[in-house]
Amino acid sequence: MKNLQFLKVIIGIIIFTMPLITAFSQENLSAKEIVKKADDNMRGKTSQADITIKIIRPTWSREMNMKAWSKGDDYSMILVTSPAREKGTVFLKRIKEVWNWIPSIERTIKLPPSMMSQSWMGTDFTNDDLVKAASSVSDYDHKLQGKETILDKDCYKIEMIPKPSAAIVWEKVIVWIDSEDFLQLKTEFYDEDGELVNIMNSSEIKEVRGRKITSKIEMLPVDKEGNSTVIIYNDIIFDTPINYNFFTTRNMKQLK
Amino acid sequence: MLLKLAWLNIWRNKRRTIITTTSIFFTVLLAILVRSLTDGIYENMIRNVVSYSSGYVQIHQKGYWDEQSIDNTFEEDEQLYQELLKNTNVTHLMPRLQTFALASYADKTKGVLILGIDPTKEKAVNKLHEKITAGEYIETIDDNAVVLGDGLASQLRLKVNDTLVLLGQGYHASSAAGKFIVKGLVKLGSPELNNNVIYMPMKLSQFMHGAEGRLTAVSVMLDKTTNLETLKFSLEESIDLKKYEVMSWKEMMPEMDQFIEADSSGHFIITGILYFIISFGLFSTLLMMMFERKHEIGILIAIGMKKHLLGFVLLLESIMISLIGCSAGIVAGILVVKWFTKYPIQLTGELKEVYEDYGVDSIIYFSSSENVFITQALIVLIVSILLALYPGFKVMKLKPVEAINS
Repeated sequence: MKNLQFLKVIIGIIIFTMPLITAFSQENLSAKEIVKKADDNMRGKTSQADITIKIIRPTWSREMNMKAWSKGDDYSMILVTSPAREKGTVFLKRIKEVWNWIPSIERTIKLPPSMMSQSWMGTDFTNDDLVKAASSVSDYDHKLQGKETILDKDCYKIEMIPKPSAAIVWEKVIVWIDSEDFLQLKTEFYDEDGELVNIMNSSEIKEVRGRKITSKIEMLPVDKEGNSTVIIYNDIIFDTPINYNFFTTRNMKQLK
Repeated sequence: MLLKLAWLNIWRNKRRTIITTTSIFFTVLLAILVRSLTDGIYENMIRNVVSYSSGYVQIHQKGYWDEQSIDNTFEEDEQLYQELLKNTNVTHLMPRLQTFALASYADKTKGVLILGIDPTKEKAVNKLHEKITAGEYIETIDDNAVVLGDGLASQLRLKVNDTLVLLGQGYHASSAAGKFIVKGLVKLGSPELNNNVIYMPMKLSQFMHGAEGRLTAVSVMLDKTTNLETLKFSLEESIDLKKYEVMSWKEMMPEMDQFIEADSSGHFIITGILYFIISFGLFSTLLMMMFERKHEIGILIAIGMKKHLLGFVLLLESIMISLIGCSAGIVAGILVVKWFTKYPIQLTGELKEVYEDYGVDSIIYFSSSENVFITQALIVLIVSILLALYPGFKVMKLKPVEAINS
């Protein structure tokens, strides 16, 4: 009898919590919220990362190491630490501006908007990809297109169409976001003719300092076979406070 | 017998013969001079442009021309030099590392062409050191300074000993940035080069681009322009075509080739008109001769001279006159051309500026290629022989009775 009562309680609890769980679970999340969650996951309030970038070309490849700092959507700083030729080069993104400090010529160069869609340091990423001048949350309209499985994980497939006001070169971007950890696992970029241009794959989900991230991001330009760029996060620290005056052109020159 | 007859006939009326001969002489001379002059101007122009830019022939890494990126460079190779120099027509080799970059001084910035050069090899070909207008020329490939076109310097508002900042794309996606002291300014004929070029010692340029020991091209200078195609072919035989490509300046600068072609067709029309006028002069003397000698020819036929033999004698006469005129013309042509090759005409004033705008030395050279003499003389000879067929034809149709009575 007692057992039965216990079972009832259990069932009662289950029935009671059922709607709550569903409410929290994916089904009811809007596409925009999913993208925001994924975006927050990789960004945090602030972040401080140690990155390795590999440029892979059919006949050669090249590796660079850098440190990156970011604060929210608007501020980020990248310092190249190796190879020796580029050591000390700094990129600063401040709201919509991008600055580049080149120690060998002792100059700070402001990248004009026209250069934002050009290759960043010879990689398959553009300057825009680097600084994320466009926000994947506020500069796009999002539409959930169902679910697909990527790397054995259940993913939301979301189509993102840039808002007319946003300075974005893509006609549309399709992202696959893992429904469990809200990590962006795959992204496809389409140009104005609707042609697939780039595929970005994220993999090697790791827990770094209590947070799950995709530690390897691979960019594959579709029309250039054998070309790719791989970003590996060696370490990342989230949410240590960074002061706003860290992100200044003056600080670029003394960054170590 | 007939030859002797013809020879004697010529000198029966000396004045007529001399007039005809002189008109042929001047045609040949004029035609030779016009042709030699234009050819000389073209050769000079090609040599000028080519020695600063591409060279007559360039060797690249295969695929460089279609994608002129620093990633398509090749390892400097002593063996390649040896192989190229084996060809006797090759006089100089100029290694080059050619890239594009942004140049900045104070608040001015401009896109520029950086030519990594071997200063000693370069000056042997195009006398770059003589074009220095301020400062000094870079002396060796290890020199740590650059030389600018003075047009570029004035656009950047920069002087000798100022420090120029260059920012470009390095080898295999590395960065290419640096500060360089300007050692000298050069004034180059071609405004395109003068306003854009930065000469940098090879080692320095390779270091800046992270491309140690690498070249974009080896420019080949030749002793003559005429054997370009055969030379290109023989170079292609001697080097590894899987690794390199060989290109002539005509392929690399088709616009100049087309300009020359268009311009020279204009000259063809002028020489054509010249020939036309001359042939009429010649024709009129022949007509006059026929008229004068109608009576005599009639008698000759009447006393049994074969018509075709007589026609042949007349033909021989014309050929002799033409030959004399032509050979005198050639000799005079050679003398004049020799004189002007030794003492070329220096242009002055406005014409000089026009030439410099085209990027060419303001000197008029004459081409002394034997081709010119032979073709021009041959053309005149053929024209005069064709015309000489007319009296022969007239003789064949001649009615002796009418001729004698005329």
